[in-house]
Amino acid sequence: MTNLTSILLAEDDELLATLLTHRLEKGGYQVFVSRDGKQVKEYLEQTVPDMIICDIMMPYFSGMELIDFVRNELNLNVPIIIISSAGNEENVLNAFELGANDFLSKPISPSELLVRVAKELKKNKFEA
Amino acid sequence: MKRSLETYFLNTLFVSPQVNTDLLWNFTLIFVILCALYFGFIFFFRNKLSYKTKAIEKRKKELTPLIVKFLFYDENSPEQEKTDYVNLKVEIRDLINNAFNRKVLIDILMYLRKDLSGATLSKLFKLYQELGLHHDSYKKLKSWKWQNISKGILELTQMNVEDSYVFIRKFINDKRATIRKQAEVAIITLKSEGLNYFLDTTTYRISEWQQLKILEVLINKKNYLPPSFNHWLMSKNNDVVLFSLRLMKNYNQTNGNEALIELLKHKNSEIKIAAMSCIKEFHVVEALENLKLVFWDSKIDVKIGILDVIGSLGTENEMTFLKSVVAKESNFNVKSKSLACMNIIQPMSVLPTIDIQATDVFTNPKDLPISETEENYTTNKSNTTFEHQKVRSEENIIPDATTPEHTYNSVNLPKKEIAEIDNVLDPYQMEVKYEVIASKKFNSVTFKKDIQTKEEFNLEFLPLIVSPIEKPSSKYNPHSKLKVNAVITDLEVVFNELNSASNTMQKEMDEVEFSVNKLSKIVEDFLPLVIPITDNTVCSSQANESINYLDLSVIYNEILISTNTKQEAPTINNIDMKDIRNIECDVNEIKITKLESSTIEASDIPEIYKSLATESNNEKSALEWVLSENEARLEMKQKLKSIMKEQDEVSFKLPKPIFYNEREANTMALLDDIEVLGDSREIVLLHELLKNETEITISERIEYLIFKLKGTEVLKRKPIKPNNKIVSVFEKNFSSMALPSQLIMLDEIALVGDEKEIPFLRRLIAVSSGKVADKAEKCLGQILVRLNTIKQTQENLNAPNQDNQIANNKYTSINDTTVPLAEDVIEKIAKKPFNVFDIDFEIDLDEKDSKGAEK
Repeated sequence: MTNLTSILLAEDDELLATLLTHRLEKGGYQVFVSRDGKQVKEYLEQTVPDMIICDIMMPYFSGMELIDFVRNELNLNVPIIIISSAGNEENVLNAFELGANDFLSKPISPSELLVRVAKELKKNKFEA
Repeated sequence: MKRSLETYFLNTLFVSPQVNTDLLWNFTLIFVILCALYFGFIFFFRNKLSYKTKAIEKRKKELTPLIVKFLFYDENSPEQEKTDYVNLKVEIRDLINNAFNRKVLIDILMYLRKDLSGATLSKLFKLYQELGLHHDSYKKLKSWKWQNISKGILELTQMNVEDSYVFIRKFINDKRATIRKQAEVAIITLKSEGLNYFLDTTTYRISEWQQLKILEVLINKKNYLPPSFNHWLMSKNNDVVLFSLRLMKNYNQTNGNEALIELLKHKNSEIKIAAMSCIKEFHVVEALENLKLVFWDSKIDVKIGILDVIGSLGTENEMTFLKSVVAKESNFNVKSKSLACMNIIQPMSVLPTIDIQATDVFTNPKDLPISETEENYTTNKSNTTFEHQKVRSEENIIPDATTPEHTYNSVNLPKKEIAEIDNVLDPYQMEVKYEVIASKKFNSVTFKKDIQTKEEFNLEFLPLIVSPIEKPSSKYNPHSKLKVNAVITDLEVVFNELNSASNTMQKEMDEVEFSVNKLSKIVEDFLPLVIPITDNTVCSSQANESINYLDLSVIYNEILISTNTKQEAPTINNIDMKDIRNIECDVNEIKITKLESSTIEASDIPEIYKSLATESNNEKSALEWVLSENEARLEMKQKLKSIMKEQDEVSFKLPKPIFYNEREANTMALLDDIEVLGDSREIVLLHELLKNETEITISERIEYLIFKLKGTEVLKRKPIKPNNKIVSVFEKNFSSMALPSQLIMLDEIALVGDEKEIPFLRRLIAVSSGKVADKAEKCLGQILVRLNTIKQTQENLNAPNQDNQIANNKYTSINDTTVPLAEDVIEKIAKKPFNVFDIDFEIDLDEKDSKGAEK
């Protein structure tokens, strides 16, 4: 169990979070779900996941702030995938500038997410 | 009563009116009861609502995992998961019997629909119908509440229930606008023919917003083939016509041009404008007459629209109409648009007129020099036709500065004035011959040009002649004077223009040889390449003696120029330039070949050139310029060659890039994913891909993946067994035993052993010696015999054929590796002298077997 790749899923939408968690777990990952920014921050201060998947719009602590926190305060090189609503391109660009690795716009295809996660992890492993 | 009146009039402000307190109390009581009821109701309904919401949320939490499991169920899942899935199905079947659960399930599916796409979304649609939730939505359509109907339509549309098309389309002409609009979008979303039905049947207005929404649905529809919208141009509903026109424009349907022209006569201005928009878009020039026809009775916005179309499609034939519009139309916007259209059709046909002053107002000073722009203008105008003609016409006459109206178009000068100008100016007649050298053909063009200048000589022809390096500090300054003062008439220049396109020239860039055959009368900086010809004959060297700049004649016979020569080329000096008229220059036979070092000889250089060279050592001549130019070119060429060589060497070592097209790139991406995520299940797909693949690189990649995935499969299902997998149970303890025990154990092995003991015995025979080895050998023989017999018996029972029996006797059932060993052992035993004690008497063999053993 401990050898599984851990993913932090920061998503305030409970239904979507459940769905994605199930899909990722089925894909062989260990998923930790955080409902808001506070939980994410607390989790990251304790543990470093192998990957972070976060929604841009989150209560208390937005996805942008989360990227900034991870990259500049924690100085982590963890791959980050952003989930954004359609038509939110400006935020996506900002997220990339801050250090996000990839993005998915809603509506999401869970299979696509799985492929992207695998690719990012592979890329990160290769770079490391 | 009296008292009460007094009270009323005198003490109204101080004493309250006398009201029955019982009544007051009653009112108060009623009010309190009403308040209590009100708050009670509020409290009750709020609690009920919040309870319901909480219950829904709770139920959602319970049902969401079930839905998710359903969505991500894979038929290739393990058995356990399949069992769970079946149990889950049973569970959900029980749950959906409850209306509340069904409602929650619909909510969950509707919510997930927003956030999902791809295959998961398709599964979601399927699940919705499999659970029979669409029946609930159908029920909503029958409701009398508009909000329920609307919700039902929305659910069915969102969940893509195509069967609901028939039920929804009856709402197309519903009197309730919300339901009507939702039904319109729904039927277009559900089926492609929905739009046809809608346009055919709708009787209500279609708002602009609704049109946009429908258009958005159509654009987002995959594989949508739009119908021919011109069918609906005859609709009684004006909005349908309008919408059809917009759709025609959007889908570029040009098959309704006649209808479009007819629609220009429509009463509705919006339709007219839409039709005009289509006409403009599709360039229906046949509509121009109708446009002009309907123009005068149309509204202003329609008029502007018509003019816009005319401006776009019209020709010069429409100019009359446009002029009449300008003349007759009172509206400024229309008039302005008409003028703009005229300028579009014929650019600059209408010029500004307001606040433009008369030409008499402008005066120029008398001593105004000829401006450069004017000169260029005249020159350009004459150059527009390549064939230069005599420019004695009024066009090129530079007007007198005193002429007040001096414009470029001053072509109407009286002939008298021209004659006066001719008298004032010295007319120069120059005849220039151009000989264009092509690769094979030589085209000769001769033209004459008369140049009239008042004070200065126009040297416009200079760019056509290769000029030497500029000499600002040259002693040969008379040139500059010449520019101002000299008069050159009838200058005839004949020179060859090297065709830059000649391939031979480019190929022989590194081989340069100048051969100047004729060089005479060197004047100006360009002179080294411009040779005057006198009487079409080559001047003799004797002519050099009489150095007269007018009759200067110099002959150079094939001067070979070396690149490394440091000798400065001669320049002309001390020539009194008086008149350079009647100079005919000819530059001929310029050959460029490879240079050889030190080929210039002093004897080859004419005397005049030598003397000039000595006097102007610090000046660079034209020849030097050519030399330096060529030298630089050669160096550049060599550098380029070396760089190219280096690049070739490097590029040879680098691997060549592989460029994939879109399909190949997609295939490679798929293979990447399979490599990362795939397992043995992908082998079938990979085989299919391999069959269809033509690209070698991709085929190799697929083969590699198949091999890789096959390998993993073999490892998982059939782990490779090591050779020593067959382990004898006796071997473990054999080595730790004493000799007698070992012998006893060997006896036991001979009794009960089977094929597992054979390798052990083989090793024992090889390793040990003495009694143990002998015993082991015997033991092995016994085992083999016994096993052989067992096998033979079994085969006899199974196959009565004698031939087969004999053949099968050669093989044992152990395995292929042990067969030769068994045969060897049998032979070995047979060769040995028979010893009764060698045979273990405890073995109970039948007669046949014992015979075999004896053998």
